[in-house]
Amino acid sequence: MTEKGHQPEAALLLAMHKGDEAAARLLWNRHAPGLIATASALLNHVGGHAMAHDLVQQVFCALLETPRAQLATIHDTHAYLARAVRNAAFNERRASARRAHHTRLAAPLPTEQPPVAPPAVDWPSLLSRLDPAHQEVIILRHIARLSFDQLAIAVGESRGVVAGRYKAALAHIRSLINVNQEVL
Amino acid sequence: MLERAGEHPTDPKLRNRLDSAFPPPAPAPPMPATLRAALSRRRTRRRAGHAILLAVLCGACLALILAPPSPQPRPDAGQPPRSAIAATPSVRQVSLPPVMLDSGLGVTVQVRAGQSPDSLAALGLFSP
Repeated sequence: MTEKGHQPEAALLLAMHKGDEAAARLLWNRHAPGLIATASALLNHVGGHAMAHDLVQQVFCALLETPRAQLATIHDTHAYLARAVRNAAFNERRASARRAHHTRLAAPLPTEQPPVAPPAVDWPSLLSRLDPAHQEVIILRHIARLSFDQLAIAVGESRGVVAGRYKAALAHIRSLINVNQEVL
Repeated sequence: MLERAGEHPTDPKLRNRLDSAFPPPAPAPPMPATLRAALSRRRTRRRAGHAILLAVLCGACLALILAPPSPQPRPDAGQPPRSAIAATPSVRQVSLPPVMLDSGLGVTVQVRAGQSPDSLAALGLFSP
């Protein structure tokens, strides 16, 4: 591992802010895979991998414009990046919903499609049926692999609130699985 | 990653299913060109900022080195000029020549400036 690989992430973040490409590459390799998967899930897979990749790239570019004093206060880089991706994904979903609404108004009426058998386990579809607050907690916990403390930072709520939302989300998923047996 | 020790886990079977439902993410793609370009612009801006700061500091140092020395204060600084001393009357500094007065007793008395009224009275020249 290079010398930079042993540096704490806070130091790598500040080095990246100065324009250090080696530090940026290290941070990208560490965090981009999980963040891209998280962004894709938060976007309900709209736009595919490319959209999620662009979103994470925007988050990293935005780090360079963040005041250095603000970056120096970050203690958990993974949670901070997850929060930035979460906020960016929500903004993109709102914009995407507006675009889809305008497109629907202009599009011709759909023709009859033959029914498609649902997959054995369609977790993305199941997650999309959750309340947005519950959905994001499940995604950040099981895709971004955040701890509850990191979840609290990413969501901007207290640890107790986040844990309560997670518990309610699990109960909702359980009820969806029990009611819609074909999802199993 | 899990709850703190002592906290009751919620639905561990469902949590394990969720963990296995989402596999580990794929390896990171190469760092995008847009991000590399942004890093390059950042480095260029920092270098330009450092150059400007260095130029300002060098200019300030040169200005201090090349500035003319301030004039030394004169020993009698604060004192008015000698011509002004002569023009400004002062009881203590001006010495009047003695005045010759006729006391009326057939005696001419020499009176100097600063002479007290008592001494003048003794000579019969002043009545307090």
